[in-house]
Amino acid sequence: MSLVNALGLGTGATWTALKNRASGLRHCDFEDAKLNTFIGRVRGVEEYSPDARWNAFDCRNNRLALMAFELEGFAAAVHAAAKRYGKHRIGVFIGTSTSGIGATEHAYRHRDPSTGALPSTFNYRLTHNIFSSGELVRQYFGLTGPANVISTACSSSAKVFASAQRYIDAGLCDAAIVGGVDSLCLTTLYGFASLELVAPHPCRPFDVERGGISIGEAAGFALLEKRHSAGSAIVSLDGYGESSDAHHMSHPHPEGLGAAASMQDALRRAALSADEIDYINLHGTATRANDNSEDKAVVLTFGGKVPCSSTKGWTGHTLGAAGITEAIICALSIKHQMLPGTLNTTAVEPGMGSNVLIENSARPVRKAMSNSFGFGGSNCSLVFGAPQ
Amino acid sequence: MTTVYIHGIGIAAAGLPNWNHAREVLTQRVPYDAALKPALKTELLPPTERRRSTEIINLALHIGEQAIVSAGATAEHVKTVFASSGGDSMILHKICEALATPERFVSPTQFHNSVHNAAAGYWHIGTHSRAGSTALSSYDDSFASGLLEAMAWLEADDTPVLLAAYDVPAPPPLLAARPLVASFGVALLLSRDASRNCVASFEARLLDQTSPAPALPIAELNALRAGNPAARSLPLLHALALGQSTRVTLPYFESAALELTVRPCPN
Repeated sequence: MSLVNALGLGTGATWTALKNRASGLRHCDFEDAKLNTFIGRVRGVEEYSPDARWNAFDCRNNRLALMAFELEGFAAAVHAAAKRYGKHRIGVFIGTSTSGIGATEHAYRHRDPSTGALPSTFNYRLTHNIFSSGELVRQYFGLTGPANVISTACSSSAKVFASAQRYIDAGLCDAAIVGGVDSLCLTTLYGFASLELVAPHPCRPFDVERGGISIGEAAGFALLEKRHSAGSAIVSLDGYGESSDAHHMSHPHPEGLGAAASMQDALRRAALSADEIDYINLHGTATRANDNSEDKAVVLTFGGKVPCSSTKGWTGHTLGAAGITEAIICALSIKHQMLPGTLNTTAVEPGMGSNVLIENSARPVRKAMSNSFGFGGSNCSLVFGAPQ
Repeated sequence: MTTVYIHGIGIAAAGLPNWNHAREVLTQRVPYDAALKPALKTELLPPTERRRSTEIINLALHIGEQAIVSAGATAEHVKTVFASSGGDSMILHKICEALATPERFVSPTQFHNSVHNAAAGYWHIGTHSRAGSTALSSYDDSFASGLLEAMAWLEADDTPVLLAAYDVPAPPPLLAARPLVASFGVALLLSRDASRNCVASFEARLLDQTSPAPALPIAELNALRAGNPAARSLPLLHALALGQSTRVTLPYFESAALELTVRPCPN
């Protein structure tokens, strides 16, 4: 596993910040955006200088990915898997919502004054196109197996786990790099602002006074294998669930029926009952509608006992990278036997029925679920367990 | 991998306005006429959603509806795979244009339509289907990738899957950076169920070596195939139109291929 986000470089930085309840959010200082909101910006991206080999891919999104590849022995684990199974037997499944659209935003600000043409240096395919990060992963690791980039808004990098599991089960590959990359850009900052969904304060998931999201950015990757080799597995993917809201493009189902279907599908595939789940990492974006809908869905599926929390007060909402970010947080919770609480939240909205943890809590964690829900009513839930 | 049955086909492109006509063109019973434009009608959306939808969303919904209707099926429990190389490039163009102005006003509707899974969202709203859905890209290999994704889903669950693959050229100046020649959309309703009416079945193998795209007998269609990622489905559509048992090899990235052994259904 490997992770880069506003909390720092590496899963260790994320875990330390979770333990110390240190948020990565700060007032918006991205490019020249003038918005009264907080963001989870990765430090050092602007100064980061990738190897010249990746010049054609250069954009904020791919820089985040490149920063993550070499952390924590991830690259070495991929190379070992490629040696073990063959480079054509490793799949690549990456999630993103906006890919490297920042490169196109910049190109549109530097159009030829007479012809309107974009700068000749602009490389759409390797920066902005949805598949850009997938192509980067394939080339970086020299992989030739099946590959796609899933882009279903904020469920993208949760759904990569489900796809990868199906490809492995179908015998299309033996292992897969799963992950997600999404980077700060004006499109999402101004877009969510136009929908009046960004908070003027660091986001407060499930809080009675929550006022919307704080946008973050992240790159995270994990190596999923059909069987864990020599006891090195950190967690197992025990189940996945997917559903559609069939309700509205940007509002969740008011009763959380789509989200509940996704959680129930994940429990069914994991062959677990609701009371066997020790922790739910909520999607918990901190918009009024999203948290209300998810609360109803959790109560419908689990009742009000299972401890749950949203970690977006630490990382911000990393959109297409939220799935991998929170999958890794679930893995860390299982590894360290501690549940993160819900940072910035002081009072859960009265009437909500789920058991939202505000403080961190040390306790046994065998099975954890992660929820990711996106625009277009795209829902995904994952169940992780301690390796058998 | 399991045998996959094709129950319905939808298509929309210049000169290939629907599957019945496309079949005649692909079998060279009628000449290809690029002036014949598809009418991107969709009955799926309620008026509020219809007002907000865009050309590429209408294209995706139209081909999906064609595939479902031609199969005599209902969409309610059908999973969906939406495969598009670049998504709604018209909306992305408008947003980037707005962000280059001092006001930076991004329309809320344009923003929620800009997600790659916008068509999937509208489809499930229109069909009231809570089944799972995905939206993906593999650049020029998005059709083969979507087909593989649908097959992997069928391998896991015995539920029909609708695959819709589509791309629309961007407006200038983005067009110069991604010069697609024309719009193209194709949809296939797939299942593991041999008992229902079907057009053809296929078995797939992922090959670890590349294979050139088979040439089509019509020059204009070869140009279309080369100029729109969704039109890379044409060799398969050609085989389906001929209605003969055959083997179709679709290139999949630079060093792999998807080999499909296609057989017509007896009915």
